[in-house]
Amino acid sequence: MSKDLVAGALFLIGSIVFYMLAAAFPVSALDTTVSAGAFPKMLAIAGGALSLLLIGSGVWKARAKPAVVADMPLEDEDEDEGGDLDKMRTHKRALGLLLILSAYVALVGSLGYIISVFLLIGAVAVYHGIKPSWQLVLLAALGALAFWGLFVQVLGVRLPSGILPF
Amino acid sequence: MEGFELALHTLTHTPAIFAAMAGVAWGIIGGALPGLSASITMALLLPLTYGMQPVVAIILLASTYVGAEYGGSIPAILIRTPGTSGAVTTAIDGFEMHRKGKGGEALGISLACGVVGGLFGMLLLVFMMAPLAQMALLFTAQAHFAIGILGLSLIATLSAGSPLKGLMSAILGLALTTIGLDPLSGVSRFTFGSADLMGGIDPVLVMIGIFAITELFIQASQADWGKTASSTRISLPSLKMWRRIWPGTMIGSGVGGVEGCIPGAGSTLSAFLAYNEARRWSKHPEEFGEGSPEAVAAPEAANNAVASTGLIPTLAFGIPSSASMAVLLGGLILHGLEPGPLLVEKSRGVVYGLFGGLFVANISQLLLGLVLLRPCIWLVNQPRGYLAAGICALVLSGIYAVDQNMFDLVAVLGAGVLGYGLKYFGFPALPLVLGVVLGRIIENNFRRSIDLGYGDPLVFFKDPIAGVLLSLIILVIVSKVVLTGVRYFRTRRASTQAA
Repeated sequence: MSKDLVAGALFLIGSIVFYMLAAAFPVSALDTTVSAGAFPKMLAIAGGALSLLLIGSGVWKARAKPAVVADMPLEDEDEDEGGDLDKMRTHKRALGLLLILSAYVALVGSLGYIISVFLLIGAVAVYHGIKPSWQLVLLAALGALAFWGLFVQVLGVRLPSGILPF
Repeated sequence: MEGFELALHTLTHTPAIFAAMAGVAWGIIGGALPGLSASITMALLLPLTYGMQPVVAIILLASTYVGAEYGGSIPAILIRTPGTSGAVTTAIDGFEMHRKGKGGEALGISLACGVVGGLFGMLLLVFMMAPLAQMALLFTAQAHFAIGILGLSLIATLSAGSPLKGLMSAILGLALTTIGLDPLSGVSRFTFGSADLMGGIDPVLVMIGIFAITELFIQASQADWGKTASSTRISLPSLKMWRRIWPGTMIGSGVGGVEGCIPGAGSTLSAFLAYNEARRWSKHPEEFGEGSPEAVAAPEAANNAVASTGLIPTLAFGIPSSASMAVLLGGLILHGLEPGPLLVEKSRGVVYGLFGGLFVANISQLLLGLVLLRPCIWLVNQPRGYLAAGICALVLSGIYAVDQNMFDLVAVLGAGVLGYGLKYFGFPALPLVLGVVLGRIIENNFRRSIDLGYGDPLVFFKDPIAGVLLSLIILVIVSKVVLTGVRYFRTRRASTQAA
């Protein structure tokens, strides 16, 4: 199934849900000629219409493809296709990085900023192919301290201390 | 004269000079790293500008753009990998010059011509802003709404790819801005009972998520870039070299100056156009592609001119000419400045202070470009993993620093996932970002207009400026759709005939 069809269908479902939620907004005594739901409803209608066009475009392209000879290299007629993002490896690598960043978000409150950033720098570096070594540990530690110094000492931002006393 | 006094006051009474130089330095470093674009380099600074005075913050962001356009030429010349999209053409001849042992000369030409282009762009900016500001008094709520929609439509249809997807991306961005408490009626919209969503989605989170986090996800699977010798020394052009490259520099400055005003064009297009025009008018066109100094001078002058003239539609109409200008637009709104026709009227100090800061930025680029070359080469030679780790730490720390709210971290990761999904399905991200930045302004003016017209939807066409702008929108969309359709059918016919 073409990406346009999938994207169009998802957008259409989203537009319908968006409209239904906007229609359910409570009426406010402060509402004027235009209620709080008017603009979201307009967007939902416009989004729905465009997604139908995209679905139609996807169907058209899918039906038109057999006109090309089988052994000719297919031109990428849709210049919007994701390129490298079509490869499963790219998705897996992206997902792995998302998991690392999510783990940081989950742990920073309990472990504290310095330890979490230290682990984050180390994990991302190793994930990108840097071999674990004492040099990496030292760089991660220095990086964590540098960021702590920048945000806490220089910018005066309060960051979670976690299990450390500062 | 008043503008000059305002600029001088800003430079002498605020840390604007420091901000300009710091911005240029950060921009050069960020632009020199192939993993960072000018817009990402600017977006990374956004959370750090929260506590700054608005004029200082805007100078910092704009100066970062100036520096990044030069910084992108460093890896382009040394390892044939442009650090920013505006340095794509520089990578062709600049790298050839480097291979012939003239890398230092190429870097010097890039730096010097970039400064000339930037100053030329600045002159255009200063002289064009004043008359455009006079138009501001004629703008009604309907015209404000129409120009916001025009800006979105232009970006959506002129961005790479399908105009249909561009418009859908813009609508998605506008939809995101409706989350939260409605400022006019107090109704809670799309919050699902969450206290964190009551304040809406901060545009900064979306920008950083879409630009920086998405790019990190994509680059997680890419190989490391090439390395270069650290012994390269920059050498500024001699008088003899200036005699050769000044026509290309002027051509580049002119092309960039004009292109910068066009929404959706940006530094990439201006660099290509400048390269082509410089070759057309060169006495040695055969050298283009083989290491011609003019082929470095023209695009570098162009992309630095764009950094200044791109501010014209951004400040005057709230229509950014590129992703970097969209980030700057976000910065303006972050600091309570509404971009558009009234910005010069209401915030003269900020606008003229920005001009002063840009002047300092362009001049200081010359010195900082010389000083920072060695550190940039050192950074380019480091493994990508360290860069990725540093950016991840900087992004997540900066986002948390804004409100000390964990939800912001979740939101920025969510925006990164959204950006990745957009990329996968071939939707351009810039219209979404612009929708998020302009959404509140557009909705407020829409509702104000309808109220003024007592519910009559034709109120937009009763205002002459709004009517013209809305007609332009229809013209832009229809012409883009027709052109895309014609191109598609021509391609289909060609492939069918070949079969």
